[in-house]
This record gives sequence, C-alpha cells and structure tokens, in this order.
Amino acid sequence: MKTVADSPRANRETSEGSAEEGNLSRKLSILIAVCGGIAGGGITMLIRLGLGLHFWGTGPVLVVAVLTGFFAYLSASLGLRVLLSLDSVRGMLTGLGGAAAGMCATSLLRRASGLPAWDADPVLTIGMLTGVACYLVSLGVLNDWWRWATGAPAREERRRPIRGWRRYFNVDTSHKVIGIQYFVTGLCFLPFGVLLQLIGRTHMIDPHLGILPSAAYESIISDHGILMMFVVVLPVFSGLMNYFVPLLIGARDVAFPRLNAFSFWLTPPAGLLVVLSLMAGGFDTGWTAYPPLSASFENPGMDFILVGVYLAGGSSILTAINILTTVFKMRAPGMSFFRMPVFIWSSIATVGLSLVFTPFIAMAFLMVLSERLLGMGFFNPSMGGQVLLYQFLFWFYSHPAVYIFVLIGLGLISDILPVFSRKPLFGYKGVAIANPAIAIGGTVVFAHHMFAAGMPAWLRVPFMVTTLLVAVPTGVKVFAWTATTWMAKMRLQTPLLFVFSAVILFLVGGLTGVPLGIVPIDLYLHDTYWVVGHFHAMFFGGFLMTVIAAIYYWFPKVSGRMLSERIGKWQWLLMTVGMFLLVVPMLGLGLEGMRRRINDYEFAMHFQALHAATAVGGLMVFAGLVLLGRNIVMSLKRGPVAGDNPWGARTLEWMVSSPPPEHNFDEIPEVLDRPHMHGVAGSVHARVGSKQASQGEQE
Amino acid sequence: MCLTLAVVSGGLAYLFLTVDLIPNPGSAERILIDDFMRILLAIAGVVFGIVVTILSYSLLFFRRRPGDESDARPTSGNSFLELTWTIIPLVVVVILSFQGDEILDQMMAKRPGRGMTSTVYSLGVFVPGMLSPADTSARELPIDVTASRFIWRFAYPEQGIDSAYTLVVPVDHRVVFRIQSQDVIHSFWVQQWGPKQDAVPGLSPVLRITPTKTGQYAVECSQLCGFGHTNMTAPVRVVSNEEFEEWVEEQRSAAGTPSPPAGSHVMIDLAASNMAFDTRVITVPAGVMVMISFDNRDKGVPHNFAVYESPAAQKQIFVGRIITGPQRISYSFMAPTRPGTYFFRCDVHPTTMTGTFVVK
Amino acid sequence: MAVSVHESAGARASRLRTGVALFLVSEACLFGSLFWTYYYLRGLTPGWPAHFPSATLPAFNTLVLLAGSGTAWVAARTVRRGSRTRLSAALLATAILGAAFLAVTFWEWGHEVFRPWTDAYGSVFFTLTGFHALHVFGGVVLMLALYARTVRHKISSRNHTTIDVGSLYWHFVDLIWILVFTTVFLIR
Repeated sequence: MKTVADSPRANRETSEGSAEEGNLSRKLSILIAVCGGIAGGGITMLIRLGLGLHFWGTGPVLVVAVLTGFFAYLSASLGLRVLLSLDSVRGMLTGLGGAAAGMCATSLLRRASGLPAWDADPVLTIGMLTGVACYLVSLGVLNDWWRWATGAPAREERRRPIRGWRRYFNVDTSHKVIGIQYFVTGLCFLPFGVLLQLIGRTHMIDPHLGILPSAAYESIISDHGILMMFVVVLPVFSGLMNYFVPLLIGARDVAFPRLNAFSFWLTPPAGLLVVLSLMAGGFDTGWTAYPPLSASFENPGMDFILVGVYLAGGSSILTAINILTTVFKMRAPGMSFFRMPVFIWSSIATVGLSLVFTPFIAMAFLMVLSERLLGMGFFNPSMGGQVLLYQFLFWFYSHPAVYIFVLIGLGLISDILPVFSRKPLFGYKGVAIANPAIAIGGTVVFAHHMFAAGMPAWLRVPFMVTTLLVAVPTGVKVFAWTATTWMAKMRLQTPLLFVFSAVILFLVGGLTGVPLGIVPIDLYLHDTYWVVGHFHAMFFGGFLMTVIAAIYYWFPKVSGRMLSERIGKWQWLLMTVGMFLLVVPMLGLGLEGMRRRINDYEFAMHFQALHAATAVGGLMVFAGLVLLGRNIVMSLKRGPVAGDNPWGARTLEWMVSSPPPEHNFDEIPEVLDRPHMHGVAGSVHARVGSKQASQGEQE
Repeated sequence: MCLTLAVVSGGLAYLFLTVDLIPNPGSAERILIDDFMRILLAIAGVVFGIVVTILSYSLLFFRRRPGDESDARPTSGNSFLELTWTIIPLVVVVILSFQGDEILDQMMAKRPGRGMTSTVYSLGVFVPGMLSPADTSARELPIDVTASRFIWRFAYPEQGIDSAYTLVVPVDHRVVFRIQSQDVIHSFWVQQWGPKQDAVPGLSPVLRITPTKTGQYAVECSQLCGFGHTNMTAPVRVVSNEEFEEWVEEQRSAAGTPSPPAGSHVMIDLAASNMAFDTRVITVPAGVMVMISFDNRDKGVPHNFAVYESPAAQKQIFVGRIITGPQRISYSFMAPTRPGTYFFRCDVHPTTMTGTFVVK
Repeated sequence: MAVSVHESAGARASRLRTGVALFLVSEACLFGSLFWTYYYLRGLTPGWPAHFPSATLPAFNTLVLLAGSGTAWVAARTVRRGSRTRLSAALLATAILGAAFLAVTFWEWGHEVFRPWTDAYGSVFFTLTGFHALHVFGGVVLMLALYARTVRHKISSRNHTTIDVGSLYWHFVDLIWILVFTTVFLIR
C-alpha cells in the first residue's frame, strides 16, 4: 500500500551511506552559507546607498543576510539543481525578482509622468502585487487552468511522482499533502508570533529599561495580532480541515483539488508580507487598523498588512468553496447530516462564515489602501466620507471571524472527548445544531465592538441583546461536554488533558465576555486589558489547546507513530499553568483600569507584578511549544508504531492505515450510525463491503 | 457532590459579590457599573464553579480502572437536561440584557428629568430611595472636549472659557461632555468615572458624568492614536462648587495662561510642494513638544522648516535640517512658553514660503 | 478498488455547479459591502450625491449587458442540442458584448467631471462601477476561454457544465449591474 511519506528505513539508508562525506560537506555548506550571507548583506547595503538611504539599516541588512545565507546553505547541502526543482523555491525566487521588477517599473513610470520616482506606498504596494503574481505563475499552480482556458489537450502525469519530503515543497493536489503544508506553515509562524509578544511582555515589566523603543511596542503587538489570526490560526485550521474532512466523511479528496493547491500557495506570501511589515516601519494602529490613523499612517508597513490579509482572506474563501462542496456532495453513502462527526459540522459552519464575510474585510482594507495610495475619501469627513463606515464593515467580518477562529476547535473537543470517555457525546444533536446557530447568531452581534465608538446610542441595545443570546448555544456545548464526562471511563492521556484545559479556558473566555456584551459595563472595560484577557482565554481554549489536543490525537494517523506521552503530560502542565498565568492577571489589569495598547504605565499603579506574571506565563507557553516541537521531531523517527486505530475511536479515518493510503479508502465505507457510539450494543459507525469493520472492537 | 457544588459556586459568588474589584469609584455612573459587574461576576462564578467541579470530579473519579478496556454506560442524551440548560441560560441572558438596558438609560439620562434620584440600584435590584449622593444641580454643565494628537483641550461655553488644558469640574454636578476630534479617533476616559466615549472626526458624541468624589484624576486617551497615545493624558480636578467658581474666574480673567501638561506632544503634518507650504497658519499650545512631520514633495528642490520670533528672522526658535525632495523628515522642538504670534518659513526660499506660527 | 459513486461525470458536474454557486454567494457579499457603503454614505452625508453622472450611456450599457445575457442563454441552450458553430458564435458574441460594455464604461469614466479622489462620492462611484467592470472583464475572459475550448472540441452535449456555469456567471454579473445602475443612476 503506497504511503504519503517514504518509510523511515529508506531515509536512514541514504543518510548512512553519505555519513563519511557528511561532515565535510556540512562544513563546506556552512562556509558557503556565511559567504552567501555576507554577499547578501553587502548587496543590500549597495542598494540602500543607491536609493539614497543610509547604507546601514539593522533590520533589512541582517534579514537579507540571514536569508541569503540560509539559501546558500541549502544550495550547498542539497545541491542547486535539487533546490531549484522545488516549485516553492522557484516561485519564491521569481516572486522576489518580480517584486523588484515591479518596483523598478513603477519608479520609471512615475518618473516618466513627472512624479517623483520614489514614494514608498505605491512603489512597494505594486512591487508586492507583481511579486505575488510572478510567484503564482512560476509556482505552476495556474498551469492547469491556463491549459483548460486555452483548450490545450490535458496532460496527465508529466513527470514521475515525487515522494518524500520534496512533495511538500511542490505544488501537489492531494488533500493530505495540502493539509500538512497548511498546518506546518501555520505552526512555523506560531513561534514567531509568540516571540513578538514575549518581547512586548518583557518590555512591559519595566518600560523604562528601554528593551524596546517605545514607538515600536504598538507595532509589535499589532503585528502579533494580525500574524496570529491570519497566518497561524487560519492556515492551521485549514490544514486540519483539508486533511481530515475527506477522511471523516469517506471521500477520496476534496471537491476541487487544484483550487485547493492554489488556495494553499497564497498563504506563504501572506505570512511573509505580515512579517515584512515590521521591517517597513511596522504599523502603529492595532490589528484593527482604524482610519483615519491607518489611512494617514506614514510608514508603508501598513500596506504590507493590507495586502497580506487580502491574500489570506482570498485563500480562506477558496477553501470555503472547497470544503462546503466536499461536505455537501461527497459524503459516504449512509452519512446523513446527523451522522456526521461534530468536526464536520464545525467545519461547514466555519467555512460558511468565511465565504460570506471575508469580502467585507477585503473591501474595508481595500478602501483604506485606496485612501493611502490614491487619496480616495471613504472615511474622510472633509471629503464627505464617514469614519464609522470602516468600523461597521470591518467588524461585520471580524466578529464572525472570531467564530471562524474557535468553532473548529470546539468541534475538535466534541470529537476527541468521547473517544477518551468511552461514551457517546452527550446531546449530540444539540451540539451539532449549536454550530450553525452560533454562526448565524454571530452575524448580528458585530457592533458590540463599537459600543463606545459614537454610533447612534439606541443602536447599541439590540446588539447587546443578540450578543448575550449567542452565549446560549455556546453554553449548550460546554454543558454537553461536562455531561459527557459524567459516569464515563476517562483515559487520562494527553489529548484528553489538553481538551480538559481547553474547556476550562474557553469557559473563562466565555464568561468574561458577558460583561463586555452589556453596554454600560463595556463602556468601562472597552480598550482595557480585560478585553485582552478575554480574547486570549478564547483563543487559548478554542484554538491553541484544541489544536495541540488534535496533534496528539491525530499524529499517529498522519505519521504512523505515537507521540511521547511523557513529554506530552509535562507540556500540558507547563502550558495550562502558563496560560492561566497569562490570562488571569490581564483580567485583573483590566478591572484596575489599565488601557490596552499602551507602552508605559505609572509604577504607582502597582501593575508591575501583574505584567511580570503575564510575561512568565507567556514564557511557559513558549517553552511548551518548544517541547511540542521536540516531541514531534523525535517521534517522527523513533516513536512507537501506531497501527490503524491506537485510540479505539469510532470515526472513519481510523478505518484506514496510518498514514492513510494515497486514495484514502480502498472501498468507500457505508455509514450505519453516528460516530462515537461507544457502549451502545450492536452499534457500528460504518462497514466496508459485506463484512463488519472492527469499529469499536479494540486492538 | 451537591454539597461540593454548593460550596464552590456559593463561595465564588460570595467572593465576587463582596470584593471591590473595580477600584476607586468616583461617580454616580460608577455605582451602577460596579454593582452590575458584581452580579455578572457572581453568575459567572456560579457557572464556572459548577462546570469545573463536575469536570474535576469526573477526571478524578470516573477514570477507567487499569486494564478495563470496556466502554462506559452510553448515556447520550437527556431531553430534560438539555432543555434545562438551554432554557435557563436563555432566560438569564434575557433578564441581564433588560437590566443592562435599564442601567444604560439611567446612565445616559438627560437632566433634569427621569430616573436617578428616585431609585437606588443595589445588588442588581432597583429599590426606591435616594441615589446617594444626590445630584444637587438644577441643570447640566456642558463642557466641550477637543482631542487632537496628542492633547486634550477643554472649553466651557457657558462660562466663557474657550481653552483650558486641565479639566476642572464641580462635585455632585452632572456634566455633559461634547467630544470632538481634530484628526484621528481618540477616546475620552477617566477611569474613576466609569464610561468612556470615542472622539471621532466628523461626529460629536456626548457623555454624561456625575462626579461624586473630589480629588485629582486623569483623562486617558483610550483609542490608539499614534506614537503619543500612551501619554495622551490631561489632569482632572473635581472640586467643590466654590472652588469651581474661583477657577472659572481665574480662567476668564486670563490671569492664568492655560497650558497643557508638561511633556505633552503635538503632531502636525506639513508638506511643501510646488514651492509652497500646504498650510499658512500653524497653531500650537504653549510649551508643548511640537513634532512637525515634514514632507518635501518637490523633486530636487531643498526645503526646510524654521520658526522665528518675527518676520525679520533675527531671533530663531527652531531651525530644521534642509532636505532635498522627495523626502520626509520629522522635526521636534519645544514651542515657546509665551503665547503670541510667531513666524515660520523655509530658509532656502525665505520670501516665498512663509507662514504664521501661533502659540496660544 | 471499487469506483466511488463520486467519480461519475454527473457527480463532477454537480460539484462544479455547487462550487460556482458558492463562489457567486461570496461575490454577492462583496458587492453587498459596496452597496452598504453607498447607502450608508448616502444616508449620513449631507449633500449626497455630490455629483450627478449622466444616466444615458449607462442605460445603453444596460441593454448591451442584457443582450450579452441573451447570447449566454442561447449558448446554454445550444450546447445541449445545437451546432458547434452556433455555440461558438454565441460565446464569442457574449464576449464581444462584454467588451463593448467595458469600452463604453471606460469612455464614460474618462468623461466624468469628478475623479475617485475628488470626494467620497467619487470614491464610491468608481469603486462600485469599477468592481463591476472587473467582473465583466472576468466574464469576457471566461467566455473567450469557453470559446477556445469549444473550437477545440472540448465541449460536447454531454460535457457542458462549464457552459452552464459560465452562463450563470454572466447572468449574475448582469443582475449586479441592474442593482448598480438603479442605485447609482436612478435612486441617487
């Protein structure tokens, strides 16, 4: 049976064979890397001189040096030919070249039409757009569509199938490959986002120490916000959906595999742009980017964010089209809506929100960009515009967005908890329906972010009512989970421990949201650390903890090996304590009246201890992530072999091998009952052919 | 089990109901906010207590015995329970939103008129009685608040004061702030008074406050407005009626020159294009740090920004570096402490690029 | 390996239709945000509209687009039981009508007294009509692609879902135009 990754044994053989030359070539590679880095730094300095800037700029020169050094190292150790054969590398190089070309072309055009050749905003923005366009063309994601459009004959496999690690750096239409690409991309940006905030938290312990120049603090936290939301959470959840939705519904792939590949490859440039924003001066507006500040903010860092989020948003709309069509049209026979795992319910609620609401933030950001670049006046009162228009459009997406960011995590809880309780999910139908209920309810609560904003006073009351109402289906879920554990036979393994912490953190988040939904209370708490504590509890409970639970739960399925329980349990303890240490002091700070997004405070307010606690908490979370990374890397090669169904779970993905075969199912199963019906006599989730599958009988 | 639930939830509820979580109440509005917050947190405490207790109990006592691979008893639903935990929260949140609306009305009510003097809000219930302390005024005191980067300026239209940088208000007197912004979104907030209100260009929202405690406070800007946001504060004094009248007299007689708090920043955008500045008059408060964000748009042409005492340009106040366009630069300098009309120009084109620099 | 029921051509066609329908939902929301912007500014900004662009050319353009919808409908019918030449003619005609629409739109834009950066009205006007024009451009490209495929015998009476969804897209763009025209030129 073909597998996605090469067997570990084959890898070991090739590396052992070259162990002799390994050392020498490693030293040579490092030497080449250093030379490459110096060359890259030198070229950057020359370019800066040419542009009329001071030759040394710490950020740009160092970053380019590191990147060229890294690229040189890879070329030396892998070989330039191999490196350039990877679609992603080719795409990236072409993208960079395209960006440079675009910037030059824009400058020349500007000079030709009498304008000054350099103006950061338009030149950089057009550079970004041409860069992304060249990148996409060079990647090859558009080739098939081009052939289709011109009516050229379709070519089948034009090169021999790639196996092994290289597959993940190429354009590949298999949903499992794309799922891993999304997931790993998101996870790669996660430590960077956490690091940003660690710097911020350390600064806040004693702002007068000068760890950060004060103007940088707001840029760092704003970038932290955008990065985490659009470049970590979205790709990670897209990855989980891409990998597991087809498996859970008994399909062989998603509905539009090529569209799927295209939508993934939009994500790396989005992430890159968000990170690059810091080097272009950052953006001092908070992730919410309200005009007039964002429209007039000097540094071009703002533009990077606007374009980057555009790409991430476009990717999520395309993913939505894919997942919705897949679930509506490609379920296994017998899988009615109320026999789907809750993860699928959450997925369709999430992508439904993505589909409908992302265009609103796209338009809001585009309007800000057009104000910056073209002088348009949507939000400019002196031109007849309205400042609040932005906030309405922005929050119309950004509130459903937070449900996009947590619903899947909640679905994960609903599907992992029964496995480790050996009981069906309590109140399955209520929990399933709660997903679209929350999604629909969440569309009419958005203005609760604007209670102090100056909108018509009477308008605040309906939003208060809807905000509180949407707490009800969320509460249904929490109570259902609690009831599931009652009289269960709990197995305290790592996935369950993370689920447990997730539920409690999420509960804290939900309960602290209620005061924010009441207008008069919100008028005090708005823009204080209470809000920051609230949404971090939501994100930790609804995203981070659940994703780690999912990693421990599904890693055996994806890789064929088990993660270490010992490391897992330590990691769990570290991260749970860390997260509470992060969230609770923030709630305290908010009650005390500390404003958010400020880089200093008076010592007399006694806030220092609370800030120090959050910094320690943040560090513990980071340490937990490091442990997770170590666990994954270690277990990929040396973890115990998992087998098909190590947890004894009753959903479709556990009916196939670990890792699953290329085409998922030899024979599409027929679904007979709900998932997770442990203990119900004679219940079988699905069967293949005429024989009963051992779904529910243990190894 | 039930006992544990009662103890945990009851304990949390009691804690939240009695402890003063939001410090320094200083206005009648704060009493409303603080009391309702107690109720909300108490309810939250009860829910949290119940869920966490049951979950912990399950994790401790419903573990599988080692070697037991069998399934648990498959209770997968209970309509009564599910209905209960849907209906009860629904009822609770509806009640909470009605209460919230009621409190909002009380807070925003215009004066004189309905409401606050006739009921007391205590522990979530309105009871008849006097709201303590009672508002002793017959009518509201209007104050105009103008926010700009990064200064708060106050005006008292009925007292004829048109520019003050300290907010002085009489205690036990309902004040209605009309809040405006000259550039980006700011937010007017005094922590001890409770609610905040954003200052939005193009709009003039109002905020009503009844301060009830004398003392020194601060207005803090609560909407990120740029690099000076953290320190965009203004001193607030709540004083007795007599002191307030004295202060008003002082301001009106111009015996005191209003000046913003030490260390305040003001940020001004200035551009030079087609051999001219885009502004002919720049106005700043006395003694502040002025930051000029200067954009020279004339390609190949050098410009700068310089401030002098008079058009004769003998005594300089600030001379900025000359830059050749297209380029941007930021100039920072301290505005003169003496109010008056000064003079700014471009030193490279001293006769054609000039303007007035007004210090108030 | 048993072939899944999902591999059939009918299932693929059904998926394509669903996918395109979902895409159109998203695009409808995009235009929704632009209409929201227009009506919000119209409601709150005094002196709206700041300018009165002439409605004659856009009215003519409406007819052009409707004609395009007509030819698209012909294409959808022809693909089931018509000749290849008629199909390719209908597709080409639709593309040409779309291009005509764009040409008139550009001409009109150039001759307006206001620009996108004149004021908020200008900004909304050009953004709304601009995004619509962008979608018409997409439609033209789509029609040309379908034309190319028809000419190269890739479309048949059994394999015609792409023509159906292409035609659906064109009708969608037409519907949006009706709304844009009504909002900007009739209701003001």
